[in-house]
Amino acid sequence: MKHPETERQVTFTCRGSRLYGILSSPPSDTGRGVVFLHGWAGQRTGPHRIFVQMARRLAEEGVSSLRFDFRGRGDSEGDADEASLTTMIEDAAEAVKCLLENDPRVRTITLLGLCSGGEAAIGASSLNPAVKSLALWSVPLVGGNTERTEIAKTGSALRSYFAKLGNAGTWRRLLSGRIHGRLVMRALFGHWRRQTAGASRAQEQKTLLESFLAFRSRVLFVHGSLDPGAAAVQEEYRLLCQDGKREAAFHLVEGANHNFYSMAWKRELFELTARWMS
Amino acid sequence: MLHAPEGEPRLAALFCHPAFDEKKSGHRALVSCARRMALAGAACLRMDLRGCGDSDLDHGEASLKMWDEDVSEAISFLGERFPGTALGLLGLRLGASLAARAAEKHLANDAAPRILVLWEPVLCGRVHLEEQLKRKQLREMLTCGRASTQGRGHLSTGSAGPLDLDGFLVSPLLREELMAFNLDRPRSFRGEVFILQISASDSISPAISALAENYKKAGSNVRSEALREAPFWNQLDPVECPTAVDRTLEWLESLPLLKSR
Repeated sequence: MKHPETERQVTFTCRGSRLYGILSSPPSDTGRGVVFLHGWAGQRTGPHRIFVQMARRLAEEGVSSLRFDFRGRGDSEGDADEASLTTMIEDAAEAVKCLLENDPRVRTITLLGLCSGGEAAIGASSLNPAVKSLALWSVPLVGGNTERTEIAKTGSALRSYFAKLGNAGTWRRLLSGRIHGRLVMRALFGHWRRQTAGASRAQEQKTLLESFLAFRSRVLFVHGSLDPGAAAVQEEYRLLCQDGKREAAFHLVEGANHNFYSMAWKRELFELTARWMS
Repeated sequence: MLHAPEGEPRLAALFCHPAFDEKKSGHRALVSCARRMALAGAACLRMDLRGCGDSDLDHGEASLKMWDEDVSEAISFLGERFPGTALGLLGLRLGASLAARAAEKHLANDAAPRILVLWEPVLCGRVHLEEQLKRKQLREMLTCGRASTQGRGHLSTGSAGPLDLDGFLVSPLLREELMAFNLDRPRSFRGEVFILQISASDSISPAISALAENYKKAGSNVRSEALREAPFWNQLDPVECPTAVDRTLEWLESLPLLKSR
């Protein structure tokens, strides 16, 4: 897929740090734009270029977009250790302004966030009136009742995972190479890691919940059915949306994991998101 | 992304990134290295190969031959942009392997690279592909309770169809090229070579020693070092690996080639 004419690098600043992104401005004009918000440890392309491919898919439908690296990530300036959900929300707000300034045709924006990027989307949802919808991929539950989702993600879920691993011979074959099992475990489950601790996390989550409840427009939730806790998270969000103040859609991609690590899952994710956006 | 130093650069370096998911996790270390090298007077170009990052094409359209062309084009760009400046190549993992291949191709002209930095190079494409497949199978087993039917047999050249490596489509051509790729053969590059082994070991492996020896036989000045660090290109969080950058900068500063400017 070649899109040399529609994409260019842009930069913007947030709290003195320069952030780098790619702006996609397709020739046809729908007035719609998307700001992609990557996950905690990610970068602007998204895992396996999921944001690049989605941006190019949207460009074919006349939707502009901006994908960028949060402070301390990818190409952007900033100390990786100082990144937090708060800094991500600030960056997201500046990214929205950047898209509006660099593509004045854009009148309405969807914040599309993956995992922690989804939390940042929620946090930034009310910071600019151009933001009219949220597409939340694999977003964790913000604030609210976390007991069910935490149970789904902690020891009991891990024990059930390990129970699926089959016999020791399979493990020996898989791990006889140079793969570091501990590091792979971190890679598989590291998205559960909490970015802030204790009281500041509680306050952060409370603020995010308030932001979510204050958002009165369209929200799409997509999770992989095999992403730990996904069903419980979606159930909690359904309860939060029962106030009828936002138009919420829920979708589980059957068999998919947290980052939709396959071509088939990506295709389904793109189709349903594009359909919902149109 | 071009990181330009203040004033005339002492070195123009092309950075070659890893493949597959290793690119994401290895990215920040390369960014950090480029920034620090720029502060030290080097112009550093980081690029995305076609089918990767923000560049054109889907991964399924990519091949090693295409990536070799991309690296060549980037070398030419640097040569034109910074005429008369020493050229270098720095690669991580498969990017290091691509850098090594490119160094063999650009030998006989004034714009040829003279400095080669290889961070934990992939020495055997087949092994690299098998490692990626194992990661995929491990992820599948932990998520679904079973691995897919795409086992090692799928790596045989007789297998038809592309390989889905966790969202990275590998064409039959790329698969065939990787299966045939091996750095364990005589080298032609004659210049300054720094090989940084990044692993759990303090000792240089026999394979890296053999690679270093091949470069020496070609007439290169070679330094090999073992850096005992977790393989950051496999980790979840972005890791800048400052020690790898320190060692590289220290070696670059020691080069008479760069001191003479």
